Amino acid sequence: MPEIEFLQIFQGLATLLAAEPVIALARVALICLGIAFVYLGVKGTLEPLIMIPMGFGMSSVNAGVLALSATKTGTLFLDPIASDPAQLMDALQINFLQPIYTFSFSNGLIAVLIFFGIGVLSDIGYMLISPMRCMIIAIFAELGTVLTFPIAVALGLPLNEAAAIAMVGSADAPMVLYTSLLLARDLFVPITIVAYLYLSLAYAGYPYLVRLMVPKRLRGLVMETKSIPNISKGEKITFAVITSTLLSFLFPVASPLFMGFFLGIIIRESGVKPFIEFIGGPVLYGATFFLGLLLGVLFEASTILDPKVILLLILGITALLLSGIGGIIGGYVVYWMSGKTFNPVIGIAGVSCLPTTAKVAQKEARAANKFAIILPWAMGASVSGVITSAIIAGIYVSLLR
Amino acid sequence: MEAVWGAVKLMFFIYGLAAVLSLIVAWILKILFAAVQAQKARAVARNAAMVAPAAEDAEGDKTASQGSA
Repeated sequence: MPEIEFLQIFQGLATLLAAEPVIALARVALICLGIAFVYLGVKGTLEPLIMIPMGFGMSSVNAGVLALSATKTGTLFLDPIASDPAQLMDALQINFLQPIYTFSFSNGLIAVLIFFGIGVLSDIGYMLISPMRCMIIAIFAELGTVLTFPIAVALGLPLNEAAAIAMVGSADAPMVLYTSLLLARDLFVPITIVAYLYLSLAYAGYPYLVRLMVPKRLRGLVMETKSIPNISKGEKITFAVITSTLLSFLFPVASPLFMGFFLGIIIRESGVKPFIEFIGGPVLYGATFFLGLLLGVLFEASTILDPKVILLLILGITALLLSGIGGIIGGYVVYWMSGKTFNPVIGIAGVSCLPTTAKVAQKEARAANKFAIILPWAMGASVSGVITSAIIAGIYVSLLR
Repeated sequence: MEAVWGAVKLMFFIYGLAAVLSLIVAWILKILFAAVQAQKARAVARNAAMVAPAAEDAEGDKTASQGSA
Protein backbone atom coordinates (compact mmCIF):
# COMPACT_ATOMS: atom_id res chain seq x y z
CA MET A 1 0.00 0.00 0.00
CA PRO A 2 1.41 3.42 -0.94
CA GLU A 3 2.11 5.93 1.76
CA ILE A 4 -0.93 8.21 2.10
CA GLU A 5 -0.51 11.83 3.07
CA PHE A 6 -3.51 13.29 4.86
CA LEU A 7 -3.19 16.70 3.19
CA GLN A 8 -2.94 15.10 -0.25
CA ILE A 9 -6.47 13.79 0.14
CA PHE A 10 -7.94 17.03 1.51
CA GLN A 11 -6.42 19.56 -0.86
CA GLY A 12 -8.70 22.45 0.16
CA LEU A 13 -7.25 22.20 3.64
CA ALA A 14 -3.71 21.75 2.27
CA THR A 15 -3.90 24.92 0.16
CA LEU A 16 -5.34 26.81 3.13
CA LEU A 17 -2.45 25.78 5.37
CA ALA A 18 0.12 26.45 2.66
CA ALA A 19 -1.22 29.92 1.79
CA GLU A 20 0.07 33.19 3.17
CA PRO A 21 -1.68 33.99 6.48
CA VAL A 22 -3.53 36.99 5.03
CA ILE A 23 -4.90 34.96 2.11
CA ALA A 24 -5.83 32.07 4.42
CA LEU A 25 -7.66 34.40 6.80
CA ALA A 26 -9.44 36.13 3.90
CA ARG A 27 -10.54 32.73 2.58
CA VAL A 28 -11.99 31.73 5.95
CA ALA A 29 -13.65 35.15 6.32
CA LEU A 30 -15.25 34.86 2.86
CA ILE A 31 -16.48 31.32 3.56
CA CYS A 32 -18.14 32.65 6.74
CA LEU A 33 -19.49 35.72 4.90
CA GLY A 34 -20.91 33.50 2.13
CA ILE A 35 -22.69 31.30 4.67
CA ALA A 36 -24.00 34.46 6.40
CA PHE A 37 -25.39 35.70 3.04
CA VAL A 38 -27.18 32.38 2.48
CA TYR A 39 -28.62 32.53 6.00
CA LEU A 40 -29.77 36.16 5.63
CA GLY A 41 -31.19 35.39 2.17
CA VAL A 42 -33.17 32.40 3.43
CA LYS A 43 -34.37 34.48 6.38
CA GLY A 44 -35.48 37.23 4.00
CA THR A 45 -33.29 39.98 5.51
CA LEU A 46 -31.35 40.25 2.23
CA GLU A 47 -32.72 39.63 -1.28
CA PRO A 48 -32.89 35.81 -1.50
CA LEU A 49 -32.89 35.65 -5.32
CA ILE A 50 -29.35 37.02 -5.41
CA MET A 51 -27.94 36.37 -1.96
CA ILE A 52 -28.52 32.60 -1.79
CA PRO A 53 -26.61 31.70 -5.00
CA MET A 54 -24.04 34.47 -4.40
CA GLY A 55 -23.33 33.47 -0.80
CA PHE A 56 -23.10 29.80 -1.67
CA GLY A 57 -20.84 30.50 -4.66
CA MET A 58 -18.61 32.64 -2.42
CA SER A 59 -18.23 30.00 0.28
CA SER A 60 -17.76 27.15 -2.24
CA VAL A 61 -15.07 28.88 -4.31
CA ASN A 62 -13.05 29.90 -1.27
CA ALA A 63 -13.28 26.42 0.18
CA GLY A 64 -12.52 24.62 -3.09
CA VAL A 65 -9.00 25.88 -3.79
CA LEU A 66 -6.73 23.10 -4.99
CA ALA A 67 -3.17 22.68 -6.28
CA LEU A 68 -3.31 22.99 -10.07
CA SER A 69 0.43 22.38 -10.41
CA ALA A 70 3.46 22.24 -8.13
CA THR A 71 3.55 26.02 -7.87
CA LYS A 72 0.05 27.16 -8.75
CA THR A 73 -3.26 26.98 -6.89
CA GLY A 74 -6.72 27.66 -8.28
CA THR A 75 -10.26 26.32 -8.59
CA LEU A 76 -12.36 24.35 -11.06
CA PHE A 77 -15.02 27.07 -11.19
CA LEU A 78 -13.76 29.68 -13.64
CA ASP A 79 -10.79 31.79 -14.63
CA PRO A 80 -11.90 35.44 -15.01
CA ILE A 81 -8.64 36.64 -16.57
CA ALA A 82 -8.29 33.99 -19.30
CA SER A 83 -8.27 35.98 -22.54
CA ASP A 84 -5.59 34.48 -24.77
CA PRO A 85 -7.41 32.03 -27.17
CA ALA A 86 -5.37 28.95 -26.20
CA GLN A 87 -5.67 29.74 -22.50
CA LEU A 88 -9.39 30.37 -22.93
CA MET A 89 -9.93 27.05 -24.74
CA ASP A 90 -8.20 25.25 -21.86
CA ALA A 91 -10.29 27.13 -19.31
CA LEU A 92 -13.51 26.29 -21.20
CA GLN A 93 -12.68 22.60 -21.00
CA ILE A 94 -11.60 22.59 -17.36
CA ASN A 95 -13.72 25.10 -15.43
CA PHE A 96 -17.38 24.14 -15.20
CA LEU A 97 -18.74 27.72 -15.02
CA GLN A 98 -16.34 29.09 -17.65
CA PRO A 99 -18.78 28.73 -20.60
CA ILE A 100 -21.47 30.74 -18.80
CA TYR A 101 -18.94 33.35 -17.71
CA THR A 102 -17.26 33.73 -21.10
CA PHE A 103 -20.38 33.66 -23.26
CA SER A 104 -22.84 35.57 -21.09
CA PHE A 105 -21.12 37.45 -18.31
CA SER A 106 -17.97 39.06 -19.64
CA ASN A 107 -19.84 40.51 -22.64
CA GLY A 108 -22.74 41.96 -20.61
CA LEU A 109 -25.37 39.57 -22.05
CA ILE A 110 -26.56 38.57 -18.58
CA ALA A 111 -27.31 42.23 -17.71
CA VAL A 112 -29.28 42.62 -20.94
CA LEU A 113 -31.25 39.42 -20.23
CA ILE A 114 -32.19 40.80 -16.82
CA PHE A 115 -33.24 44.03 -18.52
CA PHE A 116 -35.50 42.01 -20.86
CA GLY A 117 -37.13 40.57 -17.78
CA ILE A 118 -37.44 43.95 -16.05
CA GLY A 119 -39.06 45.31 -19.23
CA VAL A 120 -41.61 42.48 -19.26
CA LEU A 121 -42.46 43.20 -15.62
CA SER A 122 -42.71 46.99 -16.11
CA ASP A 123 -46.00 48.63 -16.95
CA ILE A 124 -44.95 51.81 -18.69
CA GLY A 125 -48.55 52.99 -18.47
CA TYR A 126 -47.83 54.16 -14.93
CA MET A 127 -45.26 56.55 -16.30
CA LEU A 128 -47.79 57.89 -18.81
CA ILE A 129 -50.04 59.06 -15.96
CA SER A 130 -47.78 62.03 -15.38
CA PRO A 131 -44.58 61.78 -17.43
CA MET A 132 -43.07 65.17 -16.56
CA ARG A 133 -43.55 64.79 -12.81
CA CYS A 134 -42.20 61.23 -12.86
CA MET A 135 -39.17 62.31 -14.85
CA ILE A 136 -38.43 65.30 -12.60
CA ILE A 137 -38.40 62.94 -9.61
CA ALA A 138 -36.17 60.50 -11.50
CA ILE A 139 -33.68 63.26 -12.33
CA PHE A 140 -33.44 64.28 -8.68
CA ALA A 141 -33.07 60.63 -7.68
CA GLU A 142 -29.86 60.44 -9.71
CA LEU A 143 -28.17 62.84 -7.30
CA GLY A 144 -25.99 60.05 -5.90
CA THR A 145 -25.10 58.78 -9.39
CA VAL A 146 -23.56 62.13 -10.28
CA LEU A 147 -22.38 63.55 -6.92
CA THR A 148 -20.43 60.40 -6.03
CA PHE A 149 -18.40 60.80 -9.21
CA PRO A 150 -16.29 63.83 -8.07
CA ILE A 151 -16.17 62.43 -4.52
CA ALA A 152 -14.61 59.23 -5.87
CA VAL A 153 -12.14 61.25 -7.94
CA ALA A 154 -11.25 63.27 -4.82
CA LEU A 155 -10.59 59.99 -3.01
CA GLY A 156 -8.09 58.98 -5.67
CA LEU A 157 -10.01 56.87 -8.21
CA PRO A 158 -9.44 57.50 -11.91
CA LEU A 159 -12.40 58.92 -13.87
CA ASN A 160 -13.56 55.58 -15.36
CA GLU A 161 -13.54 53.77 -12.00
CA ALA A 162 -15.18 56.75 -10.30
CA ALA A 163 -18.03 56.67 -12.85
CA ALA A 164 -18.44 52.89 -12.45
CA ILE A 165 -18.85 53.09 -8.66
CA ALA A 166 -21.02 56.22 -8.93
CA MET A 167 -23.51 54.15 -10.99
CA VAL A 168 -24.41 52.31 -7.75
CA GLY A 169 -26.47 55.43 -7.02
CA SER A 170 -28.79 54.45 -9.88
CA ALA A 171 -29.81 51.49 -7.70
CA ASP A 172 -30.05 49.38 -10.81
CA ALA A 173 -27.69 46.43 -10.37
CA PRO A 174 -27.67 45.09 -13.98
CA MET A 175 -26.89 48.63 -15.12
CA VAL A 176 -24.03 48.82 -12.62
CA LEU A 177 -22.70 45.49 -13.91
CA TYR A 178 -22.92 46.60 -17.53
CA THR A 179 -21.26 49.98 -16.88
CA SER A 180 -18.46 48.57 -14.73
CA LEU A 181 -17.73 45.89 -17.35
CA LEU A 182 -17.23 48.65 -19.91
CA LEU A 183 -15.52 51.23 -17.70
CA ALA A 184 -13.60 49.38 -15.00
CA ARG A 185 -13.21 45.73 -15.91
CA ASP A 186 -10.72 45.07 -13.09
CA LEU A 187 -13.18 46.31 -10.48
CA PHE A 188 -16.46 45.03 -11.88
CA VAL A 189 -16.71 42.14 -9.42
CA PRO A 190 -16.40 44.18 -6.19
CA ILE A 191 -18.48 47.04 -7.64
CA THR A 192 -21.33 44.72 -8.66
CA ILE A 193 -21.23 42.87 -5.35
CA VAL A 194 -21.32 46.19 -3.48
CA ALA A 195 -24.31 47.21 -5.64
CA TYR A 196 -26.28 44.02 -4.97
CA LEU A 197 -25.41 44.01 -1.29
CA TYR A 198 -26.51 47.59 -0.76
CA LEU A 199 -29.62 47.20 -2.88
CA SER A 200 -30.67 44.38 -0.59
CA LEU A 201 -30.11 46.70 2.35
CA ALA A 202 -31.88 49.64 0.67
CA TYR A 203 -35.22 47.92 1.15
CA ALA A 204 -34.55 47.96 4.89
CA GLY A 205 -32.88 51.40 5.07
CA TYR A 206 -34.98 53.65 2.80
CA PRO A 207 -38.14 53.57 4.99
CA TYR A 208 -36.11 55.23 7.78
CA LEU A 209 -34.89 57.89 5.35
CA VAL A 210 -38.49 58.55 4.25
CA ARG A 211 -39.66 58.86 7.86
CA LEU A 212 -36.75 61.16 8.63
CA MET A 213 -37.36 63.52 5.71
CA VAL A 214 -41.17 63.48 5.29
CA PRO A 215 -43.51 64.29 8.18
CA LYS A 216 -46.39 61.89 8.82
CA ARG A 217 -48.97 64.46 7.67
CA LEU A 218 -47.39 64.54 4.18
CA ARG A 219 -46.64 60.80 4.04
CA GLY A 220 -50.35 60.12 4.34
CA LEU A 221 -51.38 62.65 1.67
CA VAL A 222 -54.21 61.11 -0.38
CA MET A 223 -53.92 61.52 -4.16
CA GLU A 224 -56.76 61.72 -6.66
CA THR A 225 -56.96 58.32 -8.35
CA LYS A 226 -59.88 59.25 -10.63
CA SER A 227 -57.54 61.33 -12.81
CA ILE A 228 -55.55 58.26 -13.94
CA PRO A 229 -56.07 58.07 -17.74
CA ASN A 230 -56.71 54.89 -19.66
CA ILE A 231 -53.68 54.16 -21.82
CA SER A 232 -53.90 51.75 -24.73
CA LYS A 233 -51.35 49.10 -25.64
CA GLY A 234 -50.72 50.85 -28.95
CA GLU A 235 -49.67 54.04 -27.17
CA LYS A 236 -47.29 52.15 -24.90
CA ILE A 237 -45.73 50.26 -27.81
CA THR A 238 -45.36 53.46 -29.87
CA PHE A 239 -43.65 55.18 -26.94
CA ALA A 240 -41.29 52.22 -26.39
CA VAL A 241 -40.28 52.10 -30.07
CA ILE A 242 -39.70 55.86 -30.37
CA THR A 243 -37.80 56.22 -27.08
CA SER A 244 -35.62 53.16 -27.62
CA THR A 245 -34.71 54.24 -31.14
CA LEU A 246 -33.94 57.79 -30.03
CA LEU A 247 -31.80 56.74 -27.06
CA SER A 248 -29.95 54.07 -29.06
CA PHE A 249 -29.27 56.68 -31.71
CA LEU A 250 -27.83 59.05 -29.09
CA PHE A 251 -25.87 56.44 -27.09
CA PRO A 252 -25.04 53.42 -29.27
CA VAL A 253 -22.77 52.07 -26.54
CA ALA A 254 -25.75 51.59 -24.21
CA SER A 255 -28.12 50.44 -26.97
CA PRO A 256 -28.14 46.78 -25.79
CA LEU A 257 -29.61 47.98 -22.47
CA PHE A 258 -32.20 50.20 -24.17
CA MET A 259 -33.12 47.42 -26.57
CA GLY A 260 -33.44 44.88 -23.76
CA PHE A 261 -35.65 47.05 -21.59
CA PHE A 262 -37.93 48.42 -24.30
CA LEU A 263 -38.24 45.10 -26.13
CA GLY A 264 -39.41 43.63 -22.82
CA ILE A 265 -42.06 46.35 -22.62
CA ILE A 266 -43.17 45.73 -26.23
CA ILE A 267 -43.45 41.99 -25.62
CA ARG A 268 -45.51 42.65 -22.50
CA GLU A 269 -47.88 44.96 -24.35
CA SER A 270 -48.10 42.77 -27.44
CA GLY A 271 -49.72 40.13 -25.25
CA VAL A 272 -47.80 37.16 -26.72
CA LYS A 273 -48.26 35.01 -23.64
CA PRO A 274 -45.61 32.34 -24.32
CA PHE A 275 -42.93 35.06 -24.77
CA ILE A 276 -44.09 36.95 -21.67
CA GLU A 277 -43.99 33.78 -19.56
CA PHE A 278 -40.61 32.73 -21.01
CA ILE A 279 -38.87 36.09 -20.51
CA GLY A 280 -40.53 36.97 -17.21
CA GLY A 281 -39.85 33.45 -15.89
CA PRO A 282 -36.94 31.26 -17.06
CA VAL A 283 -34.92 34.07 -18.72
CA LEU A 284 -35.19 36.56 -15.84
CA TYR A 285 -34.84 34.08 -13.00
CA GLY A 286 -32.20 32.01 -14.83
CA ALA A 287 -30.11 35.11 -15.50
CA THR A 288 -30.55 36.34 -11.91
CA PHE A 289 -29.53 32.94 -10.53
CA PHE A 290 -26.38 32.68 -12.64
CA LEU A 291 -25.54 36.34 -12.01
CA GLY A 292 -25.63 35.72 -8.27
CA LEU A 293 -23.69 32.46 -8.53
CA LEU A 294 -21.00 33.89 -10.79
CA LEU A 295 -20.57 37.00 -8.65
CA GLY A 296 -20.10 34.80 -5.61
CA VAL A 297 -17.63 32.55 -7.43
CA LEU A 298 -15.65 35.59 -8.59
CA PHE A 299 -15.34 36.85 -5.03
CA GLU A 300 -12.11 35.12 -4.12
CA ALA A 301 -9.76 36.11 -1.32
CA SER A 302 -7.52 38.09 -3.67
CA THR A 303 -10.50 40.30 -4.64
CA ILE A 304 -11.30 41.41 -1.12
CA LEU A 305 -7.64 42.11 -0.39
CA ASP A 306 -7.66 44.86 -3.00
CA PRO A 307 -7.42 48.06 -0.90
CA LYS A 308 -9.90 49.72 -3.25
CA VAL A 309 -12.71 47.48 -1.94
CA ILE A 310 -13.04 49.47 1.32
CA LEU A 311 -13.23 52.65 -0.75
CA LEU A 312 -15.89 51.08 -2.99
CA LEU A 313 -17.93 50.08 0.07
CA ILE A 314 -17.89 53.68 1.35
CA LEU A 315 -18.64 55.20 -2.06
CA GLY A 316 -21.43 52.69 -2.79
CA ILE A 317 -23.37 53.53 0.36
CA THR A 318 -22.74 57.25 -0.22
CA ALA A 319 -24.18 57.00 -3.73
CA LEU A 320 -27.33 55.19 -2.61
CA LEU A 321 -27.88 57.54 0.33
CA LEU A 322 -27.49 60.64 -1.84
CA SER A 323 -29.87 59.21 -4.45
CA GLY A 324 -32.46 58.48 -1.78
CA ILE A 325 -32.15 62.04 -0.41
CA GLY A 326 -32.28 63.44 -3.96
CA GLY A 327 -35.40 61.41 -4.76
CA ILE A 328 -37.25 62.76 -1.73
CA ILE A 329 -36.14 66.33 -2.57
CA GLY A 330 -37.59 65.65 -6.06
CA GLY A 331 -40.81 64.49 -4.39
CA TYR A 332 -40.97 67.80 -2.50
CA VAL A 333 -40.30 69.79 -5.68
CA VAL A 334 -43.23 68.10 -7.44
CA TYR A 335 -45.33 68.51 -4.28
CA TRP A 336 -44.84 72.29 -4.46
CA MET A 337 -45.25 72.37 -8.26
CA SER A 338 -48.57 70.52 -8.06
CA GLY A 339 -50.07 72.89 -5.51
CA LYS A 340 -49.44 70.47 -2.61
CA THR A 341 -51.51 67.65 -4.10
CA PHE A 342 -48.62 65.26 -4.81
CA ASN A 343 -47.39 62.90 -2.08
CA PRO A 344 -43.63 63.61 -1.63
CA VAL A 345 -42.97 60.03 -0.49
CA ILE A 346 -43.20 59.06 -4.19
CA GLY A 347 -39.77 60.69 -4.52
CA ILE A 348 -38.03 57.65 -3.05
CA ALA A 349 -39.47 55.53 -5.90
CA GLY A 350 -37.42 57.59 -8.38
CA VAL A 351 -34.43 55.59 -7.16
CA SER A 352 -34.99 52.97 -9.80
CA CYS A 353 -34.76 49.77 -7.82
CA LEU A 354 -37.87 48.53 -9.66
CA PRO A 355 -40.28 47.68 -8.01
CA THR A 356 -38.72 47.67 -4.53
CA THR A 357 -38.62 51.44 -3.95
CA ALA A 358 -42.17 51.85 -5.30
CA LYS A 359 -43.32 49.26 -2.77
CA VAL A 360 -41.39 51.08 -0.02
CA ALA A 361 -43.17 54.33 -0.97
CA GLN A 362 -46.61 52.72 -0.93
CA LYS A 363 -45.92 50.95 2.37
CA GLU A 364 -44.82 54.17 4.07
CA ALA A 365 -47.81 56.12 2.74
CA ARG A 366 -50.18 53.37 3.84
CA ALA A 367 -48.60 53.23 7.29
CA ALA A 368 -49.27 56.96 7.71
CA ASN A 369 -52.80 56.87 6.25
CA LYS A 370 -54.58 53.67 5.27
CA PHE A 371 -56.44 55.49 2.46
CA ALA A 372 -53.28 56.76 0.75
CA ILE A 373 -52.81 54.96 -2.59
CA ILE A 374 -49.69 56.15 -4.40
CA LEU A 375 -48.42 52.97 -6.06
CA PRO A 376 -49.34 53.94 -9.68
CA TRP A 377 -47.32 57.19 -9.44
CA ALA A 378 -44.52 55.45 -7.55
CA MET A 379 -44.25 52.81 -10.29
CA GLY A 380 -44.19 55.61 -12.87
CA ALA A 381 -41.33 57.31 -11.04
CA SER A 382 -39.47 53.99 -10.82
CA VAL A 383 -39.81 53.28 -14.57
CA SER A 384 -38.64 56.85 -15.26
CA GLY A 385 -35.70 56.16 -12.98
CA VAL A 386 -34.68 53.16 -15.11
CA ILE A 387 -34.72 55.35 -18.23
CA THR A 388 -32.77 58.18 -16.56
CA SER A 389 -30.20 55.71 -15.18
CA ALA A 390 -29.70 54.23 -18.64
CA ILE A 391 -29.19 57.74 -20.05
CA ILE A 392 -26.55 58.55 -17.41
CA ALA A 393 -24.87 55.17 -18.00
CA GLY A 394 -24.81 55.96 -21.73
CA ILE A 395 -23.22 59.37 -21.09
CA TYR A 396 -20.60 57.99 -18.69
CA VAL A 397 -19.62 55.16 -21.03
CA SER A 398 -19.57 57.41 -24.12
CA LEU A 399 -17.36 60.00 -22.39
CA LEU A 400 -15.04 57.86 -20.31
CA ARG A 401 -14.61 54.51 -22.05
CA MET B 1 -7.14 69.33 -6.96
CA GLU B 2 -7.29 70.03 -10.66
CA ALA B 3 -8.62 66.53 -11.32
CA VAL B 4 -11.38 67.02 -8.74
CA TRP B 5 -12.35 70.38 -10.20
CA GLY B 6 -12.42 68.76 -13.64
CA ALA B 7 -14.65 65.99 -12.29
CA VAL B 8 -17.00 68.56 -10.72
CA LYS B 9 -17.32 70.37 -14.06
CA LEU B 10 -17.90 67.04 -15.82
CA MET B 11 -20.53 66.15 -13.23
CA PHE B 12 -22.51 69.33 -13.97
CA PHE B 13 -22.29 68.65 -17.69
CA ILE B 14 -23.42 65.02 -17.29
CA TYR B 15 -26.27 65.91 -14.93
CA GLY B 16 -27.44 68.73 -17.18
CA LEU B 17 -27.34 66.59 -20.32
CA ALA B 18 -29.10 63.70 -18.59
CA ALA B 19 -31.80 66.04 -17.29
CA VAL B 20 -32.40 67.56 -20.73
CA LEU B 21 -32.59 64.14 -22.42
CA SER B 22 -34.87 62.74 -19.74
CA LEU B 23 -37.22 65.68 -20.09
CA ILE B 24 -37.20 65.22 -23.88
CA VAL B 25 -38.28 61.60 -23.36
CA ALA B 26 -41.08 62.77 -21.03
CA TRP B 27 -42.06 65.44 -23.54
CA ILE B 28 -42.24 62.85 -26.37
CA LEU B 29 -44.51 60.84 -24.15
CA LYS B 30 -46.71 63.83 -23.40
CA ILE B 31 -46.99 64.83 -27.08
CA LEU B 32 -47.70 61.25 -28.11
CA PHE B 33 -50.39 60.89 -25.50
CA ALA B 34 -51.96 64.22 -26.42
CA ALA B 35 -51.94 63.27 -30.13
CA VAL B 36 -53.60 59.93 -29.47
CA GLN B 37 -56.22 61.53 -27.22
CA ALA B 38 -56.95 64.17 -29.87
CA GLN B 39 -57.30 61.46 -32.52
CA LYS B 40 -59.67 59.52 -30.27
CA ALA B 41 -61.76 62.65 -29.67
CA ARG B 42 -61.92 63.31 -33.44
CA ALA B 43 -62.99 59.72 -34.09
CA VAL B 44 -65.73 59.96 -31.49
CA ALA B 45 -66.95 63.25 -32.97
CA ARG B 46 -66.89 61.77 -36.51
CA ASN B 47 -68.86 58.72 -35.39
CA ALA B 48 -71.38 60.93 -33.64
CA ALA B 49 -71.74 63.07 -36.78
CA MET B 50 -72.30 59.94 -38.91
CA VAL B 51 -74.83 58.48 -36.47
CA ALA B 52 -76.94 61.67 -36.31
CA PRO B 53 -77.92 61.88 -40.07
CA ALA B 54 -78.50 58.12 -40.13
CA ALA B 55 -80.92 58.48 -37.23
CA GLU B 56 -82.63 61.38 -39.00
CA ASP B 57 -82.93 59.28 -42.23
CA ALA B 58 -84.44 56.42 -40.24
CA GLU B 59 -86.91 58.83 -38.65
CA GLY B 60 -87.78 60.21 -42.11
CA ASP B 61 -88.34 56.71 -43.55
CA LYS B 62 -90.61 55.85 -40.63
CA THR B 63 -92.74 58.99 -41.21
CA ALA B 64 -92.95 58.23 -44.93
CA SER B 65 -94.03 54.66 -44.42
CA GLN B 66 -96.64 55.77 -41.86
CA GLY B 67 -97.91 58.37 -44.35
CA SER B 68 -98.28 55.86 -47.18
CA ALA B 69 -100.20 53.38 -45.03
